[in-house]
Amino acid sequence: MKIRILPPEQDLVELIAAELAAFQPDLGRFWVVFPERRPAYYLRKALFKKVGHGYIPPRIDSFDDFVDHLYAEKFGVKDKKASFLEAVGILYQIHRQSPIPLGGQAFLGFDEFFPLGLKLYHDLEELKQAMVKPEALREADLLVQLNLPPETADRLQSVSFFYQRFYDEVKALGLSTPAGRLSFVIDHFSAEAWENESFILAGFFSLTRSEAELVKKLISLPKTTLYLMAGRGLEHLANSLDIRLEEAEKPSSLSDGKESGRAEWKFFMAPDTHGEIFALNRELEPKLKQPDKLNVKQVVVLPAAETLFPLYHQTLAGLPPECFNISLGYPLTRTPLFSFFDSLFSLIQTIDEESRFYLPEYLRFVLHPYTKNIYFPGPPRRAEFTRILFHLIEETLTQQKGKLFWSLEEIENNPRLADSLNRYVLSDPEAPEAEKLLSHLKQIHEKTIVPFLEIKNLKDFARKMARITEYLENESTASRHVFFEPYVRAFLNQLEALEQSFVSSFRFDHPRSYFNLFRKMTAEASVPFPGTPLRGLQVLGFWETRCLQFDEVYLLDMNEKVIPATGKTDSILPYAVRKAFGLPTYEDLERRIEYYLDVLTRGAKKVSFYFVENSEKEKSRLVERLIWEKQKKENETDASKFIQAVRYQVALSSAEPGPIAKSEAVLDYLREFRFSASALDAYLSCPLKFYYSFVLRLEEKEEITDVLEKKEIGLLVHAILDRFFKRWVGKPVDPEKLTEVELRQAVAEEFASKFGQDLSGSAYLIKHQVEAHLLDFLRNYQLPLIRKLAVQGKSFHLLGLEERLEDTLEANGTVFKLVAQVDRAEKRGDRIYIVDYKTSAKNKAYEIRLDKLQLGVRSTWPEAVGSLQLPLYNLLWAARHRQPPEEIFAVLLLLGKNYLSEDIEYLPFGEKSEARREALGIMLNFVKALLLEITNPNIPFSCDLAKEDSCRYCVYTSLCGIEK
Amino acid sequence: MRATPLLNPDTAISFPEFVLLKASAGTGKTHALTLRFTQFLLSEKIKNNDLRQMLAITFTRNAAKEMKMRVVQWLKDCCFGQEETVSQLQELVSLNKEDLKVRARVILENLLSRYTDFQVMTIDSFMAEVFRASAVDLGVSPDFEITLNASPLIDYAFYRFLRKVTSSSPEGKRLAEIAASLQALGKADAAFIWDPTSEVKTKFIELYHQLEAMNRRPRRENRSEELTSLQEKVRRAAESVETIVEATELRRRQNAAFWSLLPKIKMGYLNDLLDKSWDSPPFNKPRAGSGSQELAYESAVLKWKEFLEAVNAYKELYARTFFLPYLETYDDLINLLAEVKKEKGVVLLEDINRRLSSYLGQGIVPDVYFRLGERIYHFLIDEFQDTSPVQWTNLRPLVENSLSQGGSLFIVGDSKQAIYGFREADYEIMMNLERGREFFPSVETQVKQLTLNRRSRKEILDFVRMVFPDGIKTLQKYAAKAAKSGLDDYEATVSEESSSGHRPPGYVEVHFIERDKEPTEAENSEEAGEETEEELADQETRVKSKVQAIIAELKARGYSYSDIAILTYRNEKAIQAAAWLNEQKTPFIPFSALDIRKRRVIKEILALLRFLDFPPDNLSLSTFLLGELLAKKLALDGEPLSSQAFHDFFFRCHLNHDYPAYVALRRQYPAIWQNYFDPLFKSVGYLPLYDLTTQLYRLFNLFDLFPEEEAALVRFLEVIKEFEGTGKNSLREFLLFASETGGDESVWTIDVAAEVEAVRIMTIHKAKGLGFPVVILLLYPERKVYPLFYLAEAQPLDEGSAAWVLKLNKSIAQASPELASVYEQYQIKDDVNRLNTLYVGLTRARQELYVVGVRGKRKEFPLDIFEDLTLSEDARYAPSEEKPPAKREKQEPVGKTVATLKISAPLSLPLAEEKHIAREEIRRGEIIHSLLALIEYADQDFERTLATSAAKLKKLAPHLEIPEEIISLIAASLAAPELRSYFEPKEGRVVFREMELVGPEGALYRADRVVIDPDLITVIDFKSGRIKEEKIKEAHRMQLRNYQQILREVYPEKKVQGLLVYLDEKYWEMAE
Ligand code: SF4
Repeated sequence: MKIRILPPEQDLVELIAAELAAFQPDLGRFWVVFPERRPAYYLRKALFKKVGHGYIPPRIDSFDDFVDHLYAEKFGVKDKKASFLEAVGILYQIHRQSPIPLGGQAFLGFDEFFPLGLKLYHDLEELKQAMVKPEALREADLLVQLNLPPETADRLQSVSFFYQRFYDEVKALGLSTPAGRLSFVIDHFSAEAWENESFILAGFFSLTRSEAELVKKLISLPKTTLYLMAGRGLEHLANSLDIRLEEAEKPSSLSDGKESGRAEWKFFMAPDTHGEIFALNRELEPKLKQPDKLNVKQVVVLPAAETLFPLYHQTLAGLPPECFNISLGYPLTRTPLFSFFDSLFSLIQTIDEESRFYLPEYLRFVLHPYTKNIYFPGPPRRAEFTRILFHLIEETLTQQKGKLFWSLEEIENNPRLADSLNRYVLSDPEAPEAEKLLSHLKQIHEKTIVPFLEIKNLKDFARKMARITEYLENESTASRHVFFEPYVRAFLNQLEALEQSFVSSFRFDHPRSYFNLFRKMTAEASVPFPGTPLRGLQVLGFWETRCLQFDEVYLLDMNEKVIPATGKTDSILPYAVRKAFGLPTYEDLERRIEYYLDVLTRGAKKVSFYFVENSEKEKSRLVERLIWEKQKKENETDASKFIQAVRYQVALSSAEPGPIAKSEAVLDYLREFRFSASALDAYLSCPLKFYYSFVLRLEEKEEITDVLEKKEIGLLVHAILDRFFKRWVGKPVDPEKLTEVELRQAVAEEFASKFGQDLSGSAYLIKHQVEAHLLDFLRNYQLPLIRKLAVQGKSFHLLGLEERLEDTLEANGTVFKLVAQVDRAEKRGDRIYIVDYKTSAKNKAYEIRLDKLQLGVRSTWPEAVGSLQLPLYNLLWAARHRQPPEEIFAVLLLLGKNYLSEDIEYLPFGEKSEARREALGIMLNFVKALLLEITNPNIPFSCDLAKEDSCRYCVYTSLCGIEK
Repeated sequence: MRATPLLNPDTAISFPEFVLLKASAGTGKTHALTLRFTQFLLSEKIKNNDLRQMLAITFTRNAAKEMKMRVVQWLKDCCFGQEETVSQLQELVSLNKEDLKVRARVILENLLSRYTDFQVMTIDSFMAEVFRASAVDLGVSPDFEITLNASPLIDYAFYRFLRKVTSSSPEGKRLAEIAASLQALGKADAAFIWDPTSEVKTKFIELYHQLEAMNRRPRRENRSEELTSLQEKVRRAAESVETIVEATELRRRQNAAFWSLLPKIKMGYLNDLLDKSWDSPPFNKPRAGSGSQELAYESAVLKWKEFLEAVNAYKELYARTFFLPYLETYDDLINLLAEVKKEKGVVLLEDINRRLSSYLGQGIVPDVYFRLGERIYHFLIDEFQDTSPVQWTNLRPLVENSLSQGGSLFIVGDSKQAIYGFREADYEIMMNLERGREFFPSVETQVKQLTLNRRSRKEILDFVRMVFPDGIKTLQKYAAKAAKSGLDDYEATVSEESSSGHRPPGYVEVHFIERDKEPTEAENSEEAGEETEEELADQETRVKSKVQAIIAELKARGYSYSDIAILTYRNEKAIQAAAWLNEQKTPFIPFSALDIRKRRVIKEILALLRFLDFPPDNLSLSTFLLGELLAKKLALDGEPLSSQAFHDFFFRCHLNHDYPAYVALRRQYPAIWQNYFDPLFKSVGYLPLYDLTTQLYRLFNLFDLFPEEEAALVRFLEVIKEFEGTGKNSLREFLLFASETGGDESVWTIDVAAEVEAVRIMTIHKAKGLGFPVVILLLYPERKVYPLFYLAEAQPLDEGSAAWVLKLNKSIAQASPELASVYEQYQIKDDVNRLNTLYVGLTRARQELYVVGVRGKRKEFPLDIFEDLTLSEDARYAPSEEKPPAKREKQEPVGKTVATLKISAPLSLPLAEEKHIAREEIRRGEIIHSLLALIEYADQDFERTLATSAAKLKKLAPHLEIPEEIISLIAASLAAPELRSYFEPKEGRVVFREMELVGPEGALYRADRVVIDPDLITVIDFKSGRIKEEKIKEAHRMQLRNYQQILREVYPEKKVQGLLVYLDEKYWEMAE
């Protein structure tokens, strides 16, 4: 046995390679074991250099692989390595048999049990690793030093229940677990039989009790060499291996107790991840400009995997691919493939009894980039047709507001969709026929959604997922993304593990459980970016740096909760119990991080630490300590002297939209424009709004929502009242024949035409409300009004519905066109009323405050005139029918009031002729002035003239450039 | 004088100990807290003072961070022997100077290496930890996530609920009933609820939050029939009053509301009665001695009393049943919500508190401590006044247990600064402890007070004192309420430095902005309406000029903008103040954070993304085309097009109905399309969101073109990164997320560093805990806020923990003493809150304070306080005529600024090759290889060998299906004697399967089968599937040659030949 301790600046791998090279070609008899897999790549590369040509390599393993190989090869045990799913599956079966299951009734489903089972599995493996006997655990409450509270004692009983049965079950099923294999190897180890083996054990720091046991046995063999790196806390390892560091072979630099040469340390503080990366870019600048200066002795360490893509895009992507190399595990849940499945399953979970899906989820799924980029079959295959197809679906279905549940057939056979596809096909000469597009749609449904409507068991589920994954891989643009392939592989591995396990026969009552399990499984998994061949700048996860020596180290995300990642150990076994049984505690984990960080940073010539500091995040304790060490060394009381900070520029200006001049073309257009009340109102509210809405005709895209907006309810009510009154146009209305039955029917017809027959959710409730309220309208407003007239011997004569009025108006020599559409016109006795329905309760928005209006003072306009609607109706009707305007009564019916009575009428300017004439006169002049302003080339469209508060409900807040 | 005379030296502390430290604004409570923490760590006299045995609780995460930093700083300073620190600590820790230094170093290093045990955290994170340790017991999945934002879950639960609502379902029926009763309960003029769903939902959410905070379920009693009969009773009583008055000669009292309401009462609309209080009968008392009239009066009064009784009974029932419709669905929704939470594996913060409150009560504390790892002996709690009842319920048993074991509790707070009433915080908990109404049996409460104000200068303190406590005590209207939180009785002394003249004096200025005209009698009464708009406008202009002038003067005198803060009660006023500064182009930061979505450049980026997501979206396209971003980029590229061209373009599209506009654009401006749209248009298909956005940034040189927007641009990338972290990465979902308002907006905001030159504008709430050199406190009349619901414990407590959900207002509350008391309690809480807020507002300034009061029509809070104390005249409070010299506060940023580098080369991401991958094929190939790898030598009967091999494989992978076809295929393919020979044992032959070989760069290969004979090596590679392309076969040959090469290098003396076997094609080739 030989134990050698190396200083951190020594390249362990190089050293081993140099020593091994001497034995070429007989390398095959060596067995090199590192704590993890990655150094094998480096060792093989180093050996190649030393040997100078191809060779048959020594065995190089991570510790776990090493144990597995011993188990299978040395001892020839043939069984299956239990996947974590199988382990949890076994625990689940034990759990179901338990008289007092953990957590009572809470975890009886497999998917519910899964996270708990996983935790339990880890704990059991750790117990096994710590060589705890089941009896010992069962009798833990007898351990005086523990002083167990009774509740914990009970809980330990449950764990021991599992502990006892679990390994028996594992065995019975022909399976084995890592801890089981390790313990088997230890039990069967024989020094004599192994005498001639040449083991090289290198770079260990923390070992569990049984790992230490095995290492102890190995180092007792004559031809074993143990290499250790000097670093903070190495004595802990020495203790667990019963070795004396003083006796080990080491260079004099280590023996004289001096700390090895400190690298140059820099600390960078940034407000966020990108700040760290931009500061890193600056540090790397010379090398980024001359990529050939990048080499394998430089490493960017990413303790937080999610920084990979920012780093990739902001730093690496510009480099030639051979200049860098990434190796770390990336969380599978961050990949688009996960989100694809997630949205697919969310969609399926919305299915109702009639096999209809919730539209927003359907759209979310089909608009997922992977779905909407499935190729339309060729040749040549083209994805844009699919994109157009789904956008048209979105457009069409969204317009059918209120219908929120659709079956796939309803979508596929929707006549409106067919229409809009036909229209599109006409517009694009390359487009395939509408029918083909529709059958393409069907095909996509069949391939993605349909298979999951019925799931037989986990195996079936896994198969179906694998099939979709393959479908995407081959039939969509997804695979064009360079990282897609690794994602797929990681996914398929998961699915394969599922399929290849005995749990694959598990079946659930509810599809939800499959999806849940899928989500929970994926949360545990990561995509390995193995990063070979080795060249250029190394980008590694923290653990991937173990046993490797670098000259330049750039450590990103040196933050609390990242490194170390979690606080106290996440376990069912409390700290004191873990400690008492020799299971690793959070302290051990932290010690391990510290050790490897120490070796990594002290081995380098230059180290830069980057961390984020903001209201959420604080720098890692590790950095805190290094800074303190620096403070001590340099006797500097102010820590901030060592820190360089990234700061961003912040713009605080708040821009106001600029004016928009009126071009000749626009002026011509405006002079010909048919001005409606809503156009004039828009202009009054904000001239820019008018410009965007009426000159450029830019409209907001309709969004699917689960509530009908006010506007849509308004349209519904209008349509219903139109239906209801239609048969009376041109006739006096007979109150006895204006029946509730007819009104109900009008409501039913209108809703059916908009939303179909069977309403649910808010559409149903709205219908209920609309019907009830319109009945109120009939009973408490309309009929009493007509009857009252009748009592006075007058009739109620319906003149028209939805009548369009047009006229011209001359102002300063220009003739303007005005239009209006009136909801209803009627004659009550001799008086003409023009009625406009409103579904709101307040008339404030329509008020005209003549007392506030000064025609000559522009700034009084917006606040004085709420809406020009009623005056315009008045004027236009009067003009068309050549009647004095003051004798036309334009009123609003505020149908939105809670109780309806004759009070719901709003009539501006009062009843008195004189006052009305005067008021309408002013309004006429006002309209003229407004029209002249709109068409005045010298007055640009500008928000300076806008109403206060006009931006609040404006849809152009992005367009006009306002920063509010 | 001792720095913190309130802390006892370690030798003088006897355990258990409970200290309640009252700390008025600016008295350095964090100082006291951190000092005590440090003392405990350092002391050798205090038992159980290991890190793990101490816990400090702060109100915010930031405060926790800061407190940790301070403790570390204390220790560091002590190590370095910093005079002041050492002497302060020496007073508390009985160690000599040298020992103290050594000890500090040991402790610091211990702390840094056991940082996990350094427990300073918010109460929520502490409770979460307790909960986590108890999750399995509580039946909660151990991988649960805590979420603070319930709304997405509620939305989802609600949508599931709605699915059940149809014309035939019970849920549908119920909601229809709710809709009907909603109308019945609303006033005549109120808005009719067309869509009751959102109404039910909003109310549910509000109710949910309040009930959860109280840890109660609503009490439901359906008494609608009773309500109808009471309605009837009211109507009858009213009619009898009318009848009597009509029948007799009694005179109606003019203006009595009764008469105007009578028609409504008769129609059964009673809701308008609810606001009315009735003082006297609606008829006049006849002159004395008018005989029959007097008699009639008597009986009318009787009827009137009956009427009032009926009305009261009606009100009472109304108050209790008003929310019934909502409560009907409450349970359904709560159950659905629980289901949703379980499915998603999330736990809400309120669940943690609620569930712990029933769990922690059961003597389980020792077990909880055990699971947490160690008993906590010493608790230190900051901002105690903001603790909520449920938090205290949960904390108390833990504390109690510690005290009983000789631990300690150190509470710091200031009930005068309790302003989070709306978050269910309850200052009364602190008051109860302070005043001995609540106590711990095992220990005596020591109440102490920090009085030395370290923040404000003398003149400011003197001014504040005139209001609190001196002035307020004398105001009858407020004295009692002020006493509730101790505003009427506290001390604040000026720090020596300030009073001894070492520091320049402070300065206070008061301005009251009068209304334009004097209020008339009528206006001063309760009935006075709102101010008319023009009255406000003029007054507003004066306020605005005043504030602008103050700032200009401060600036001229040498203050920097960042020294100034404007504080208001309400958000709207802060927004308004922001507009005033904007007018003057004065830089400002609203609420110390900026929402990047309000920045124009971000809006345009979002518009472009929106367009890419949905190309027919003309509005988004236009936002981008007409915007600034493209204009700058075009200018940079020397493109002569101006944005006018695009205005014209859209105008033409409109005139010609040329839509969708992007198609027209592509046709009319092919170059623009090609350069600026096409690259993104293509990659939106397959690029993940972050990649796409980066490509966009580069394409438009955003960092170069908008250097001033750096912070916003970076934040945007961060948001996307975080968004992808939630497992979502479709563009569509991101856009939805970006358009969400409400919820957690903090992801979208950028923190602005303290040194940024800008005036801070914020509400007093936000300013709590902060100090500024100069404060402008803007005071407007503050109307009371009336809660939607009033919650009251259901009496008796029969249904466990139920609460009444009441509808109250001043008039309804008078209907019964019980309602009155509930109402009163809420009123008091609200009043105390408002008074405390004023106190907080007045105590933020260090050097100069400007109180700008804006008078309303009536005398209203808080202006009335100043008026009644005659502090409302324009005045200055300063020792001399001259204003004191400005003392700018240097905001030293931490560390020196480092330059950054953003790569601006256009991003072209490599495209993966398009290829067809048949996973089934690959899998089959793997099985074939595995089978062959298990064969060292074959029997005569190859099939049997294969069967054995298959059996072995089955052991390793029991669930693997090995198709029969494979076995016969292999057997058949390898039947040829030339091939079979490599499976036969031979003298001197060694066979390697899956042999590892290393080539250049250390690349590792696995040769399927290597047969080493004494002078010949044969390396064999098996291939499955039918290979059509010669290219691929060539690659196979290359690979084989590579193996041969390596083997030749290893065995230079042997001949090496290669054999490539295509199993499916039953074909092989040999290479020399
Ligand atoms: S956001 Fe405001 S300024 Fe811009 S167009 Fe709309 S109303 Fe006018």
